[in-house]
Amino acid sequence: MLEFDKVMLELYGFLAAWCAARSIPLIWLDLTVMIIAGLIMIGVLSLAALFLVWWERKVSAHLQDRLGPMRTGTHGVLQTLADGIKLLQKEDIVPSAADKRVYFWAPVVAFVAAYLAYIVIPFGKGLIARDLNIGILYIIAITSFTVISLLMAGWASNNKYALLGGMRSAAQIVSYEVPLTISVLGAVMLAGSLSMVDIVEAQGPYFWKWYWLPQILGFGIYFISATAEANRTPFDLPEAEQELVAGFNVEYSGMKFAMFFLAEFVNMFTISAIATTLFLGGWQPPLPGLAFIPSWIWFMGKTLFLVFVLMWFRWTYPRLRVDQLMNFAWKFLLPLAFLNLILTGLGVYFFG
Amino acid sequence: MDRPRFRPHAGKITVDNMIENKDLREEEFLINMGPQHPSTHGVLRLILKMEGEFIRDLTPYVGYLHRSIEKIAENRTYNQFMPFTDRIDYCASMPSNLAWATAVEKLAAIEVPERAEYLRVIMVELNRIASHLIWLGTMSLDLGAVTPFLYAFREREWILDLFEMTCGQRLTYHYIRIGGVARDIPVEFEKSCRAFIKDFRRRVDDYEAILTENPIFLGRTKDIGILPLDLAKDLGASGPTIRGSNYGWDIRKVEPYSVYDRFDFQIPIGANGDVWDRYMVRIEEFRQSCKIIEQALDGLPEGDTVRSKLPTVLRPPAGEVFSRIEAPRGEMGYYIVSNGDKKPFRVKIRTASYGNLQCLRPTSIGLKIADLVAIFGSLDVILPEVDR
Amino acid sequence: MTKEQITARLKDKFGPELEIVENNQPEPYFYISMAKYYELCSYAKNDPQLDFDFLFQLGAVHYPDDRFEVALCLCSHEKNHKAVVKVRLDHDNPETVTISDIWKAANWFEREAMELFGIGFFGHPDPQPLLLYDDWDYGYPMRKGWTGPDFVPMPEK
Repeated sequence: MLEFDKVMLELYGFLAAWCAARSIPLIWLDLTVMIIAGLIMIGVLSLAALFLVWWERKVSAHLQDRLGPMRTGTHGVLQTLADGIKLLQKEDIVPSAADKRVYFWAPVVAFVAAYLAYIVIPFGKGLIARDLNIGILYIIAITSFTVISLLMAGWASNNKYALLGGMRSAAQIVSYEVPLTISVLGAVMLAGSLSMVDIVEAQGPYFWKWYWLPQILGFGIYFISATAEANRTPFDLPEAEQELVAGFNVEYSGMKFAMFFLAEFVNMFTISAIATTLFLGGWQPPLPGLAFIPSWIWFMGKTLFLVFVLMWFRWTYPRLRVDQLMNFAWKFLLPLAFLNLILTGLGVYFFG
Repeated sequence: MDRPRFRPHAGKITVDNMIENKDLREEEFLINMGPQHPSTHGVLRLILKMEGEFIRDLTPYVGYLHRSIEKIAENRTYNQFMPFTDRIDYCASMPSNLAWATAVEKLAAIEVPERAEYLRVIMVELNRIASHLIWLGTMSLDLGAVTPFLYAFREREWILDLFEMTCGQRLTYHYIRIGGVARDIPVEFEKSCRAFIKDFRRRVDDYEAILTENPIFLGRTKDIGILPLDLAKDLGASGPTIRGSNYGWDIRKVEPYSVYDRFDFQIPIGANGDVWDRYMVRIEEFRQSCKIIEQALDGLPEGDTVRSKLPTVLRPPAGEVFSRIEAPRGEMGYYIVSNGDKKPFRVKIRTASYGNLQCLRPTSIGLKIADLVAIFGSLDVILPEVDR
Repeated sequence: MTKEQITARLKDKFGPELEIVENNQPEPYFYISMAKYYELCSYAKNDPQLDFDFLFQLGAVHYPDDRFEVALCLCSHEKNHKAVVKVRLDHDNPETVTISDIWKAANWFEREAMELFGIGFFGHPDPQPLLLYDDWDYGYPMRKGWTGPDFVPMPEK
């Protein structure tokens, strides 16, 4: 079976030797490898986002007793590609009273913030762009960038609906950041490391040893808060269609809109990937006997299952109201997250 | 009004500086909601005076669908006007037809064959279900739940198929005529209709399973938009809106028209007039309508005549008449002044949404914009009815 | 209450100001004089016997070269009876008082009559146009014989 880490290491060793023979400093090789890895990442993630858009449409369609896209390609697999091409050709409308620079940069910030998180996500054994020793901290910091982009979009559009959407998103994301971070700490305490790779390896190839069982509370809190962070129903207040038309992106059109749209789906994938890494054993197989299946397939399978759960939420639940959303975060999730933290601390102290 | 603009601060940013700086301030602002807005159910325009998320005042502006149907009525004969009644409430055309037919029959003292009366009841009740399905779909959509919308439209499709089978139309039926109905039902109608009722009972339970006890749905609807009974009466609310405010008022019961006095059905009422009560009233009306349709199908008398013989150009005696029926949204009625001519001298159309829409302002002031959307959904206002 | 009882009760109160229309409808129809219009409405709403708590509709009728009429269809929820009250208005200067402080439902009905027939309702709290578009400047379209710029009369056979 193809094990990426060995292949990569051998390739890197070969290239390093090649460079050493020609007395090229190793930094150049490192830089090239990083750029190539980054480009691959962007390409793969964009494809994944396209796939997720199609998948969401199919999931929603089947949940709603209809077929969804069927015309472009087999079962409409090329539908999002066609939509993307259409959006590329659309006129890019900028409201005359908008703050042009901020308006332009908002989708870029959203896009970049969504993609940067993938640097530290281990897609498989050895399949990680950079194993930072503060991996989870880095992710929390980077995903918070999203709120800035939403605020920028809401403010710069010079539209009251967009402004309300931006304000809602600021309040919502900042509030849910707190229980999210605290719930993540439980897994970090159990693993004793902030590095994503260490956390995965600490969980081992037995599904009952993964952190979802000792951290069942933390897993629940993380998943709910992350749903709110990604602005998915039932927490999709910033873009509540029936109240604020489209919220922060009401004025956006063409490719800028598509960037927000893709960023949303990439974010959805991110939170599922983090949940998989922290609580579902990452790329570890559920039993050691199943290790013949490549690790990245396990990772993708678990992540896509969580993505499906998110989609299931979206097409089942109504939307919360602003005050209910805030009450839920501060009065329910946060105390629960602290309780989880204390319990984990006690557990680690006595049994760890 | 000032538009929010992003301007970098000139001086050093301190708290004092921020308060004095005119760029940073709290103020009420106006939002123009509609006529193009996803949850104004057509073309209602609301000017909201907002303070953050809170609504301080709101003014509805109607008239975007004004077609002057009352003026048209003065230039058409009584039979010619019937297709226009379809367009008054295009989600519930059959009750609109029935309202006009009963008004003219009352004015000209026309007898209707018994079989036609039963067919009218079947069609009107089917249309009540179809109309409530649109309400259920759009209201759950307003609350952010998309899936019930498509479930509701799936069931509505079956009803439209039944109507198409009967009269050939799927939206504006023009089926109920003065003195009866246009034609008899086809043979396969009864079987399909019974199958629909059987299936639909189960579907209503499904809707309840997905919405009624959902904590998010309860949080969004319970104690929101309470309409006190006195206010409801004063504002001219009717139909499920007033029944939600704990008042069992239904024209089908208190003043039976057609053959409604022969059927056994209950009037569901709500407890305190909030959004959830209005929702429950309509959900229960699904079941009651099913009951009425089944009884009407059982008791459908045999016969060939479904329309009494009338002169081609109807000339009712001079006089005036005022008649009302229970449409899905509430009381719908016509006030007709006749001068003995073939055309009505004056027709005044009173529709349910006209009264119900006026309940929007008192119930939603002080609440949030999300509540406004929920309340508006629960009132089930349809704009062509208001504007006519 | 039956038709006769309602008629008798109002006749007792208003005497010659009330003019009964004879017809074979189940509801009573009558004319009230302009002077007693508001008083009758107030009485109909507040009298415990009549208890007309629901204004079903308020509509204007134009009789060309003669008069305007405002017709109120009143209903009672508790007593379950109905009545139609009409008032004659002057043709050249159609004006009456508002009853929107008695029934709030009258507010929009009066705005509509104001806009489409040009009837003045003295004391109306919000005398704004309701249905027609903002720069409508072609008179009162529901009056008989009205013509506007795009108006094509119905061809007579």
